[in-house]
Amino acid sequence: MSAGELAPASSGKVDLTDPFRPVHGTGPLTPYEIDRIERVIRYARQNSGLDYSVFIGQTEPDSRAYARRLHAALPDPDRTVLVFVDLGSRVLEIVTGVAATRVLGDNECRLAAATMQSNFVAHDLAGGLTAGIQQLATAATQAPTLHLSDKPY
Amino acid sequence: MTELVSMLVPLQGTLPGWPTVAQPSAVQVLGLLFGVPLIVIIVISLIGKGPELIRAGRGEDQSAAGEPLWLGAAPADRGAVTAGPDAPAAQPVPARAPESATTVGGASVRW
Repeated sequence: MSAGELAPASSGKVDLTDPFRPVHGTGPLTPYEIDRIERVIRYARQNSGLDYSVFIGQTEPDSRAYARRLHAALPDPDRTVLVFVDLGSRVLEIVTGVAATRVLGDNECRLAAATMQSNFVAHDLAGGLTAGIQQLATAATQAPTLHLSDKPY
Repeated sequence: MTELVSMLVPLQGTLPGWPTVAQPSAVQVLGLLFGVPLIVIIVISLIGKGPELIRAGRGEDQSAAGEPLWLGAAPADRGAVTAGPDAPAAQPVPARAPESATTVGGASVRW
């Protein structure tokens, strides 16, 4: 489901607890902010080779377990980094897959989480996500090595 | 009516020496007392609520602010997530192996 996808007006009764239902409007972000974050996600994917997913929604009492379940349901969880934000409970969870963990350690995730946290405190959701994803991608980007690369320099 | 008396008596009708003024009708009085304030209230309300109404017309109302939003890669397996932690065995299970749940990394913060 792409961001900002609109549900048809005659969609009938919608289960509001279903995080996968079509989104009416843009959630807490403006269309411009969504476009900005999606651009950052694209660049991060190109640079680091990892997939990034951002979910903004309500969590369950065990937010870490819920974030892990969300992450496990992603198409390629091993190479995906999930950033889960619950604005109501003020919870931020970053979950990295098995392959992603090899290039993106928990310390880097904690640093990115601290960056996002400082923005979220200032009610800057889009800014925090943008900065955090950029920081995660920078940390996950491996410098090209001459003896391992086939590309001529 | 002397000048002193005119200061004490409420002004009604036409003052002595002034041209005769027509008495307003009941409709005119009601319009002045209720119609004009009502129009002013409507205009102020429209100015205050206008941006919100415009956003609502575009489908950007505040009720959408609490709705979940996915950006980037979105899950394909809905049942694994929406079933909740106490899902029965008949529910679809996550695609991941159980041992992989312990190998994922990341971080958690609250603010």
